[in-house]
Amino acid sequence: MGSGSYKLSGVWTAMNSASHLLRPIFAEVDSDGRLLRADEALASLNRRAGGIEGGILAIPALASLAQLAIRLQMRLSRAVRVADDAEHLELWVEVSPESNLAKLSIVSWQVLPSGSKSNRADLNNVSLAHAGVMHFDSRYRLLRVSGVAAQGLAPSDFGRDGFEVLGDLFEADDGLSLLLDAMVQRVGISARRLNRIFDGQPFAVTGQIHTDNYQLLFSTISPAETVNVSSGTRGTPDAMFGKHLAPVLRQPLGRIIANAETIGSELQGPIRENYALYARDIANAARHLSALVDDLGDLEAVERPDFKTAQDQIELGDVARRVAGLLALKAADHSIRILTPPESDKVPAIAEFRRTLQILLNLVNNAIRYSPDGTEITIETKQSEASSMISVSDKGAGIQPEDREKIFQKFERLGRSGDGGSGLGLYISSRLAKAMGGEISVSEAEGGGAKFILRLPSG
Amino acid sequence: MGIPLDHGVDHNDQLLKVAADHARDINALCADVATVIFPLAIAPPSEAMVAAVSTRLREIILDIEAAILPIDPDQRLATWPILARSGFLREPDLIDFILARVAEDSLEVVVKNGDANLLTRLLDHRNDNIADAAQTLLAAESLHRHSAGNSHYALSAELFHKLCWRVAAAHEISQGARKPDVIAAVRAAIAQYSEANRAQSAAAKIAHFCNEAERSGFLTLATAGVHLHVAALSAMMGLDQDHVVRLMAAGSSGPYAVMLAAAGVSKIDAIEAIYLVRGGSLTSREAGIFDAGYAMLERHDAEAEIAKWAAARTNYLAFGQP
Repeated sequence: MGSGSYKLSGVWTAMNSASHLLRPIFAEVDSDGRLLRADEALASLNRRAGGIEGGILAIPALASLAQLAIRLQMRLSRAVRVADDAEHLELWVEVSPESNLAKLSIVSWQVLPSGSKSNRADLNNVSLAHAGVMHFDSRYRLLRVSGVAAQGLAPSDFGRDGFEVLGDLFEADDGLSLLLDAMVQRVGISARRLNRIFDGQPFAVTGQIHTDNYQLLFSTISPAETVNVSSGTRGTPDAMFGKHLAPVLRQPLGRIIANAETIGSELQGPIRENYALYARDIANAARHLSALVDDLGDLEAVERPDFKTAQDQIELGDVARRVAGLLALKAADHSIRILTPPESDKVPAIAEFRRTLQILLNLVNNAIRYSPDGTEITIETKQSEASSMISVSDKGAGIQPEDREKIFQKFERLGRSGDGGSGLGLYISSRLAKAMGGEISVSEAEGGGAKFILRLPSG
Repeated sequence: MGIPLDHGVDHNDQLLKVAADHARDINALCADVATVIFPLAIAPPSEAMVAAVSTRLREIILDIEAAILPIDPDQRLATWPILARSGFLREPDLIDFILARVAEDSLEVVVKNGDANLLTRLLDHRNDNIADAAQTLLAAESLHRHSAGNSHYALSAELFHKLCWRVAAAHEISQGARKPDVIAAVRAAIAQYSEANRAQSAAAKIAHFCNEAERSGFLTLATAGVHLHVAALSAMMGLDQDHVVRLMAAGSSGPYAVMLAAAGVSKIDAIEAIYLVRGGSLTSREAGIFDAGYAMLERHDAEAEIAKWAAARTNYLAFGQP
């Protein structure tokens, strides 16, 4: 469909924004939203939207308006925006209810000129390359939808939790899990195949961060077509937790954390002091659970026989400074200083950047947790012929020699509990180090405390 | 000799009722006091605004009672105490509607000094849909300004339906019996209602049917008048009209400036519109913020920000959480 001169069921109308239909398009919809009768223009639009004759009207905005008129038994007159392939239409619809059905009279049918929709300017650019786009706000509520992505949605879906909307619309399979996982982690994701439940239509869906928001770009694919899943895909068919359970668990945990923080920080107004403390406890407990979910997902990944890491050229001093930056606030809470190697010392290594960062975050996190307040944690780098090395030393109680092997075992806590640890961090770090061709060991730091050393292949 | 009782209490059951009401009241008092001391809004309501909202709300209930209840004029507002106690009159969609009307009134006061003649010119438009809608809009504005007893016709379909049935229910509660004649009167009032006769609907229809050049003329508040200006912004932003009008009358001119930026209005025109809306009382701080910020504001950033407002409003009207 294009702008300019336009033919609808034998009714010519100039489709610029100043024109209107020469005679209205009529339709009848019952209280269940079924399209009982429609002039060809609307029937055709309904078919393009996936509807069938006598079935539920597949244009949610129109169906809702008809049902509202029947429920209220009132005459309504409103502009309705609908998507038709990649275009947006604005219809002026007058609805008269008659007991159990609504008579629709569409007196104007306009193709919205692309670019004129102010709050869709950026979207229009995207729409040229994609059949549909879904926009979510920073709290993952559905903001707006265009093109094929709008089919199957009701007006009440806007403002709803995006995870729930996607869960309602698409089959719960690996593609959806990975997509939700990427949204939770606020990272982009390459094309994943999603199958829409109501019409079985498969899509290749790409996720992107867009300013503070998240957007999904939809491209239609044929049922037989497969989506080229990018390398570095997480999980195999056996990876049940990381792929299926972790995203499902992260969503409610994320909400618990956000709501408890809102209550605890008294953003909605003052509450009793005890309640604010309870709310902070809830947030901390949920954060702990969330970290455990991450650990279990990683555990499953590192234990797979085919687990591999990328071989990036990295600089260990750079990793150290990033970790120090990420944990600066947490360390400051305990008046702990994190000392990093000088920028002039370059120690290159071959390892996956993200995994190395993860290992070092775990080591420095542990050091903060077990160091006395007001002490220092030292991160040092060193280059030898065979390997590159980065160490984390603290001023805590240290690790007894007989425990230095044991501490890298799964769920080993050395008898400690209640400190927020899961007993998985060092095990996972150790497995990651091995997967990258390196190792982690622990010794006694100068002046007491523990010194964890990560060795990686030299760059 | 007995001890005199206050409140005219002379039966045990009435004593219990009064006691129960006031026992509940001490909890409600906490919430009221907290709201007064710690208002949630950046710009808390002025006394004038509270009075205007309260008056408008009473007027609507009064007009609905007059339309559907067979009671004498001196018994009007009989349903008010029941409706007020039920909590219905506190619901966000109703208060939002009233606040939008109060904002609209205040905007019309400042705009009427201008040359708002665009609407009358549309009466002769070659497109019948536009000419008819202009006629409807003029009639609705006139009804609103000059005719008492019709305030309920300004309600949206959803609110009209809800309010009529709740007033009928409150009447039945006060009378202690079903009232078939009232139910029939509600059905008749609902059947007579036509959304197309609302000023907002007529303005939206004009904005829909006009071409882009004509619509851009609506962005000049002084000549377009409040309804057409709001309808044009509403169509461009994808916000509902009551949302636009409330943003225009917000405590700061910031939201209006962002809407104008998203609509592509030039800085000079925008400052004129803001100056008009603020009744010529733009503070130096606002002017400073505007001067520095407007030129730097990217249109797509303004659009992205406005999209968030729409989502927040949907959430608020559905769940009542700001």
